[in-house]
Amino acid sequence: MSLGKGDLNGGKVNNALLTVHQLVTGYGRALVLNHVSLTVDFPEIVALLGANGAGKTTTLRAIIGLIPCWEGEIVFGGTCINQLPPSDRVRLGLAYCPEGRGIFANLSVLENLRVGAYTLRNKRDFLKNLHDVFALFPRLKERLHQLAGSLSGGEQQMLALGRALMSNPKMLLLDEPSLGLAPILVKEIYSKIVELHEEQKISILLVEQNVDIALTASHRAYVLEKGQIVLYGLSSDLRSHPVIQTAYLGG
Amino acid sequence: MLHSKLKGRPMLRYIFCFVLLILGAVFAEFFVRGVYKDVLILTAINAIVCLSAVVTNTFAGQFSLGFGGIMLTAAYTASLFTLPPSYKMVFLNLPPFLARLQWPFIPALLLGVLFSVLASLFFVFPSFRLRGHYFILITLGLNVIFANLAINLRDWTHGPLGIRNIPFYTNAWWAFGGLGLTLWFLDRFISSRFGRALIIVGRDETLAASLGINVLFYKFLAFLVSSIIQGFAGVLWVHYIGSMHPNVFDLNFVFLIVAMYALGGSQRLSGAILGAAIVTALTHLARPIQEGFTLFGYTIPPLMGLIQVLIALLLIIVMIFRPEGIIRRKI
Amino acid sequence: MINFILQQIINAIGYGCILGLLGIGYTIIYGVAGLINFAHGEIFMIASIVAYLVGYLMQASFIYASIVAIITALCCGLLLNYLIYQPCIKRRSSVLTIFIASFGASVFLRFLLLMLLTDRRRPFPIPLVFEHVFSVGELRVPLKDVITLGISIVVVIITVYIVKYTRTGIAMRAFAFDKETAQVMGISLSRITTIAFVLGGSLAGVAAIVYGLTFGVVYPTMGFLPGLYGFMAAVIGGIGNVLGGFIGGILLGFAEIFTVAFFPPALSPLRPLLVWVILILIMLFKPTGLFKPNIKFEELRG
Repeated sequence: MSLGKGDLNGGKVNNALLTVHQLVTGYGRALVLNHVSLTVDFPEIVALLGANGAGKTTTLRAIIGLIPCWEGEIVFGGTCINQLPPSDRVRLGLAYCPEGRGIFANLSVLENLRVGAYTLRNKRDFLKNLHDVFALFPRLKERLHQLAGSLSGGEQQMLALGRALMSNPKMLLLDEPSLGLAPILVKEIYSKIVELHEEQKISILLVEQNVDIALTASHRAYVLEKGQIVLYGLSSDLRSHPVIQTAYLGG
Repeated sequence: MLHSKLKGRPMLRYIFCFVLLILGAVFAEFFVRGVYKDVLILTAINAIVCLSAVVTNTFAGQFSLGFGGIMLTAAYTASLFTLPPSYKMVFLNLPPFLARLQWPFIPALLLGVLFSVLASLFFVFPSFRLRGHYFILITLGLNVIFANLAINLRDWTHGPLGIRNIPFYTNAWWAFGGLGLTLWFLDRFISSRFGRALIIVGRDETLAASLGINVLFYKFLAFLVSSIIQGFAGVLWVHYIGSMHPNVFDLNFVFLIVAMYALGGSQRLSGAILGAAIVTALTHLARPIQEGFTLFGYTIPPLMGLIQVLIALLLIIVMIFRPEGIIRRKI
Repeated sequence: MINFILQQIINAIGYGCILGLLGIGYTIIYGVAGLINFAHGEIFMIASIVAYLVGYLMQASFIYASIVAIITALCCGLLLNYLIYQPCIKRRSSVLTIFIASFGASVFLRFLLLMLLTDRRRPFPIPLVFEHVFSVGELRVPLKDVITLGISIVVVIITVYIVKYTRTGIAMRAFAFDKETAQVMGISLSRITTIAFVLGGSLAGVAAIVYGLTFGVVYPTMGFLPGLYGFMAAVIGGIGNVLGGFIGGILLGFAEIFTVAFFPPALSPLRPLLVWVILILIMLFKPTGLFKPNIKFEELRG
């Protein structure tokens, strides 16, 4: 566990699934990420923590390709993906659940899932994934033909997750899955997240403001502050770190 | 670079523009004739219209294409008062008091501007609720409606045939003087707190509202200012050309003004003038080419519409590669 | 009286279908690409002119001319997309810049054809067989209108099917709703925009054929007003709503034909006004259109 500017975690050899190396980016002329580095192995759950405005969502958006990188490198599965548009990155095995769910409210649940499966090549894969998603989230099956916009918050989050899973991703980028959900639902969603990680061996990078649940669910975590990684390590260790205790857990 | 030298020194700016305008007017009035004089004077008048477009479109962020209808209103109104009674009695069917009188230029000009302001109210209210493409569509529609009214109110406008014998009041002094007046007025307006508030409204309405700026009032103000300028230009126009009909300020005209605005540089007042100069010059000077000519023994047939084709092509290219226009904001 | 109204309805079929088809084209392109293709009316015009050139000058059959016309329209749509819209989108141009470019494209095409061909009316190649007129009771039902209605309905059904049930159609609707998230699902921006223009362009081509059957003439400025009305139809029907766009066009077409029939002659020059008045009223009171639009409302406003 170290306190300091982010660099490759613990000197591990670079065979991680996702490597973000010295990422610098922002919006317009405003700098948001200042030499951010992190890695996600296969398979593990990594949490990215930090206060509002620290740059967590920006990091995920940069990884999926919705915003360009000014400097730095993003390597996924051995391939440098800096120049690739989002649609190509998805085909490499990345999936993204945006902040606020990002479901298509004008489409039905089934149609949302079909969009998620856009990159699949044949019907058999689609049906198999659909089956898996229903096993994980039975409630989606019940609401199959309902308009996605009419679902409750919890159901929308499940739909967003299910949709992301339809593309057979190797890695999932989750942006604040707990946003706007009641604590019971948060627990339920996170248990599903851990479940799908264990069953399908999907790596997950999740951004969270709810530090408690994030540290519980993840193996490792990074803490982002004002665009820089200030802390990283095993989640179990971080939980007892004094900075975390006072700043985020109110201890 | 010229801009940076003039930026902080209003006095220098005023003197520079004043000198240019005087030179322009003198040149136009005394040294050129025919099509060249037309180009200079119409450039000045088009520049005035273009400046009004900068006010609504760039500053206030309300992209309005309605200047056709507003200028039409002012033009017809003013000419109704400046036309000689001999013409009015014969060709129009006006109430007697109107048919008999003939006003000098300035009162008629002011009346024309007044009516153009009233006409602009039709644009103001939709702008409060609609934005973007919808608003543009409605302003286009209002152009058509005004032109249609002009065609139909035959008693007052002589219908599609239009009116002639409008006295030639506009000379180079009016044109360039008008341009100078407009520039001076807008310069003062932009630096005033009204202008600065307006620019904030144009950039980000929610931000403006959160700063306590009354957005509706400023939109209203933008249209007020621009309609005054447009009415002014419309009256100048018809009193230079000497005739008026419903298609003078039609959608082709609207296109040319949009081209001037976009080509010259939509972010600065000087851009409007440059755009007006380029497009007006092209439109008039290239006309003989349109009519067909012989070159090295080959006869090139008349190509009506070539000018619009070239201007449109230029516009597309500029919008792709340099969307702010030729004269950009200093970054 | 009933007969009179029915006859007017029959007369209005052709015009309504034209506006409806153009409306669908506009709504698909606006829904997916987020831009108004002002040159849509000009694609329609170019398809008509190609039909004239192929069918009349080259003496080809109606079917052949129609197919070439539709393919031309499709290619025009693609060209506009690649040469103008994609470069603007890649450079992240503002909405207004794209609008001005679109406006410029429309003027460019219109005046280019005007320059090359002059505004003389030229005939659309209609097979003589189509000139037959049925008599149903007291009503005159031209065969041309029946064919027109048939073509339009088939095309609309196909388009609605594509948009509602196919993978591409669902992707288009997703894209219309949320561009960014759709891209994250693997839908490529340039590819889906291309598809939208292919679809929209083809529809303009079909509209050209319908226009040819209904009015029989072809001329360079023919695209301006129908294009504008087609856009209005898309707006009235709810942006992004395919069926709504078609119905909007039918309504608009019917409105104009009915005013021709019912307006006293003294007021007839005011006819074009009615269409605008309808539009302005709908804009003010129901800006989202009569039916449910397919994009987020905030985007409609700017």
